[in-house]
Amino acid sequence: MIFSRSLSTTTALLGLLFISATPEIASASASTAPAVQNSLLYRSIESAMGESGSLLNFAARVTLEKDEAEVLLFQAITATEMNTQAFHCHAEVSSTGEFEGSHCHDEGMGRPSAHQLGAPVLKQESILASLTSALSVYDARIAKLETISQLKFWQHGDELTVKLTGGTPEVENFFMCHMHGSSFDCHRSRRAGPNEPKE
Amino acid sequence: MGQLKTLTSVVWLCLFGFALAACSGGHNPDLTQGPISGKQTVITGTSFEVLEGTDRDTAAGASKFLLASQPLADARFATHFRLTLELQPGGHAALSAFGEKTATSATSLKNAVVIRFERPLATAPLSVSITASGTTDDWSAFFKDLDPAKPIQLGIDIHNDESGEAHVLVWNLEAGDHPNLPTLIDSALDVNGAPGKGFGRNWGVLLSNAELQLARLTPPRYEH
Repeated sequence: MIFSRSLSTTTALLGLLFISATPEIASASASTAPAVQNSLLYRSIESAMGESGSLLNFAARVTLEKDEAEVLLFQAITATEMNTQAFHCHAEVSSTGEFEGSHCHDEGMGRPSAHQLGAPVLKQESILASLTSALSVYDARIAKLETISQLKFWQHGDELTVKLTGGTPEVENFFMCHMHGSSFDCHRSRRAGPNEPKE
Repeated sequence: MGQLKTLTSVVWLCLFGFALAACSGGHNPDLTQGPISGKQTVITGTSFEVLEGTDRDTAAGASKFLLASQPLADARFATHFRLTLELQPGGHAALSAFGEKTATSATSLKNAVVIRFERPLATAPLSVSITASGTTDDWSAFFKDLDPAKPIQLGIDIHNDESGEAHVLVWNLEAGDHPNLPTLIDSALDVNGAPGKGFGRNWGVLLSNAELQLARLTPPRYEH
C-alpha cells in the first residue's frame, strides 16, 4: 500500500515534470494529465505493474469494458525470451460514487516464448510518463479518454510505441515515445514501431 | 562627320546614365526584392540563387525557385523558417527544406520536406499541403482562418533530427508574435505526424504568381 501510494506520488511528479518540459503539449493538456492519471485505464496498468512485482514489464495490452479492465503484461525473462502475466482489474468506487482507483487480481502466467527486446527494459517511471503523455494528447486532440476500448504499448530499442484504439468510428492511433531532454514524451505517428509482441 | 557627332552624343549620354545610376544611393540588401545580376537575390538578409523554370503544376506558367545560397547545417537538423508570402489569385508558393539539389529540375529539390500554399482563383480558403518521402497530406483545414488575399506571415519549425518523420510546427504571425502563441498545426499532436522527412541540406522557396517578402532562418522555436 505504501509502495503503491509512493508510486502514485512519483508518477504525479513525473507527470508535472513532463508537462513543464514540453510547453506545446503542456498548453494542450496541462489540465488533462491529472484526469489521465486518475482514469481506470492508467490506474489499472499502474496497479497491475505494482502487483506483478516485476521490473521487467516492457509491454502491455489492456482491454476495457465498463468498469473492468483485462491487463496482460509482457515481461522479459532473458534477452531473447519473454512471458506474459494476466490481471483482471476493476474500478474501486467510493460510497458517494467517485472513482478511487483500480484493484487488480493476478490471473496467472503464460508460457515463455521467444522475443528480442534489443535494449534494457525501460524504467517503470518512463513507461508511466509515456502513457501519461500519449493519453493526454489523445484526450486533448483526438477524442475523449472514455472512448478508448484498448491500449497496447511495447518497447523497441530505447523507444516505446503506444497504440490506442478508440473514437467514433473506432480507429487505431499510434504514438512514438522517447526521451526528449530529461523526460519521456510522445508524439503521434502514422505507423507503429517494430517488434510488437504477439499474444 | 555627322555620324561621328551622333556617336559622340550617344557615348556622352551613356556615360551620363552610368553616373546617375552610380549616384542613386546606397545599397540596402534588406530592401532588395528583385534579382541581382539575374542570378542572385537577397530577401531580408537571406541570399538566394534565382532559378527560372516552367512550372507544369499550374496554369500560371512561369515560376522561379529561390534556392538558399547557404545550405542548412546538416540533414539531421532542426530550424525555424520565418516567411512572408503574398499570393496572387491562382498563385502558389512552396517551402522546400532538407532537400538535395538535382540535375533534372531547376525548380525543385529531391527528397525534401515541401510545404505548399496555394491561393485559389476564386474566393476560397487557402490550400495547404505537405509532401515528404513520396506522400502528400492535405493540411488545409488547419489554415482555414487565414485570408489568402493578405500576405501570409508564418513561422515554421522543421525538426528533421528525430528518429522517425520530421516534426513540423506552424505558427500564424499575422497578429504579431508572443511566447505562448498557439500553433496552427503541430504534426506531433494534430495529425499522425508529417508524411516523412528530408534527406538533404538545401532549402528554397518555389514561387508562381507569388512573392516572397520575408525569409529568415533562426534556431527552432520549439525546443524539445
